[in-house]
Amino acid sequence: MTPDRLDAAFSALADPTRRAILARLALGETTVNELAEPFDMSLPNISKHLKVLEGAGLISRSRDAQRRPCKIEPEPLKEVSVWIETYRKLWEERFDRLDDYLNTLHAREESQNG
Amino acid sequence: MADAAPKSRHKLHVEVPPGEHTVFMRREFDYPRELVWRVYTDGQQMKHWWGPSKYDTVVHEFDFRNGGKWRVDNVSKDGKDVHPFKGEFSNIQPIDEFTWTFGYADMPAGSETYKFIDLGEGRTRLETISIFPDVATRDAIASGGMEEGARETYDRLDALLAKSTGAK
Repeated sequence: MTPDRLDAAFSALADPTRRAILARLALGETTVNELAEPFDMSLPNISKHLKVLEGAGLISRSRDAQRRPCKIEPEPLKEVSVWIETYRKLWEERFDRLDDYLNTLHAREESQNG
Repeated sequence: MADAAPKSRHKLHVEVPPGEHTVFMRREFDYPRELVWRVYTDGQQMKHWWGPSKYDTVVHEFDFRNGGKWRVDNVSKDGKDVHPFKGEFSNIQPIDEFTWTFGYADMPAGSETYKFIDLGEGRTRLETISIFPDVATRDAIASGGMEEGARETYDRLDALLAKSTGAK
């Protein structure tokens, strides 16, 4: 995944409506009309959100002109999760080592003062 | 090596607001704020904890004052793999917070602010705000020497994916 695409995925995910749409699509593909139902939103508005999601590669829409069902594309979401997990691991290890080192120092200083 | 048994470890909280080049982290330590501050802001101590354990940390420069520079390498045990980091200190407010710019290799630098919060009873919470210049740099820093970690991570993806698409 290119950084641009990861960036697009992050910004598409920034909106709560778009996250809710993705959550709905995670259950299975559906049409725009069905998607719009639970949201208090006009069809053009929903379409706008779908366009952003589609641009970020997070969903795809079938060429079936009548219904054009939307489908979730899991790959970019995986990339976002992998990035966060990689970053977390790096810092988790760093802070765990800091913990160990603080423990050593603290014990040494306590014994010097005691 | 330690005189006392290590205390229980606290969880690291990481927040990555979607669409921003910012990462927030917070982590508690069962040690006094003065000690955490002292260790964190002393280049001599850095080699004991900074950087993944499979790398050695070589501190070339650590001039802890506003405008002072720092330069640190993470070097693999066989010496072949070198990850150079560098930056400049600012916003030093002992023992509350400081900021350093944070650059990796020749990529544009971002900044990291560290806040040291006294929780009483000899405990401290460290809060960090990292601002990356762009996503490419953010990714390079996250993956610097961490390719293996990323591969392992793929094994745990299903649960994560469920979480990131979960309805509120």
